Amino acid sequence: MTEERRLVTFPPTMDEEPPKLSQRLTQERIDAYAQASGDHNPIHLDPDFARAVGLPSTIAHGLLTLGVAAAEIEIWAQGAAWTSRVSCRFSAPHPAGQVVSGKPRVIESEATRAAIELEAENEAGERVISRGLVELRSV
Amino acid sequence: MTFHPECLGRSYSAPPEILDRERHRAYAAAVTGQDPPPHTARPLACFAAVYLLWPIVPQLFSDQLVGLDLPRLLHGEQEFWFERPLQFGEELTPEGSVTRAEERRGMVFVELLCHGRDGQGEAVAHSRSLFLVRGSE
Repeated sequence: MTEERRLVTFPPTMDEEPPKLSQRLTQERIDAYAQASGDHNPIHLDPDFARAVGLPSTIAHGLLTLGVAAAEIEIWAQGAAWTSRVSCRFSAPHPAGQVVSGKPRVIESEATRAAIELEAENEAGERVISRGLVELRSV
Repeated sequence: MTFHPECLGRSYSAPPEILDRERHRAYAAAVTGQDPPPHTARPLACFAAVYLLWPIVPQLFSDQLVGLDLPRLLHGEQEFWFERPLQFGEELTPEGSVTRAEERRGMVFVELLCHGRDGQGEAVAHSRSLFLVRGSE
């Protein structure tokens, strides 16, 4: 986890700051995700295969990148809320070994529901997650 | 491989599985970068991929009546949503169907909608995936 803070009361205020995202997605972590998820597509695991299909290197699974970003928010909020929706567009590949970073923000806050906008980019400044959303509901 | 737009409506299913806390521990270690991972009372939302998507997606990808060119395939969009919080130890039975299948300007667009039914047969978890296949030019 990037930061160790928690959402204590629900809903979050509009100026509340969910934890910033900054995590390096190493090949070791990508391998661990493949093992845990069952997604063994070689573009994530085999550098030769990745290069053969036109990628500069192996890339993180989109669902790993999304899972990393969403988990930060879910763990931050878990005492006060459960996650009812997670969605995004995968806009660019995230090369293995690079840091994924982002600054989620509260965009909607109602009595029992809140929405967190989620965008993330790779080290080249390319947006890897766009139109991202994590929807929380009070427990 | 030749893409078949008439695959719209193709459906797939898989046997029920139990939302397993140990499997989640390995998943959470990968997505949080911590081992052991932080405690979570409920499964993380994107863990649903393990139970909703991965029993179904290989069937879609290997379906000759769909004809996806896997080396050129990209995961374009993903959405998970839930009717209620899922709990460790409960059963989830996945089913999926192709809800969009078209080719435009050399790009193939295939949308896969999946649902997970609990032990009472209620659809409690949902997934929408958009896969794109780049043109060969």
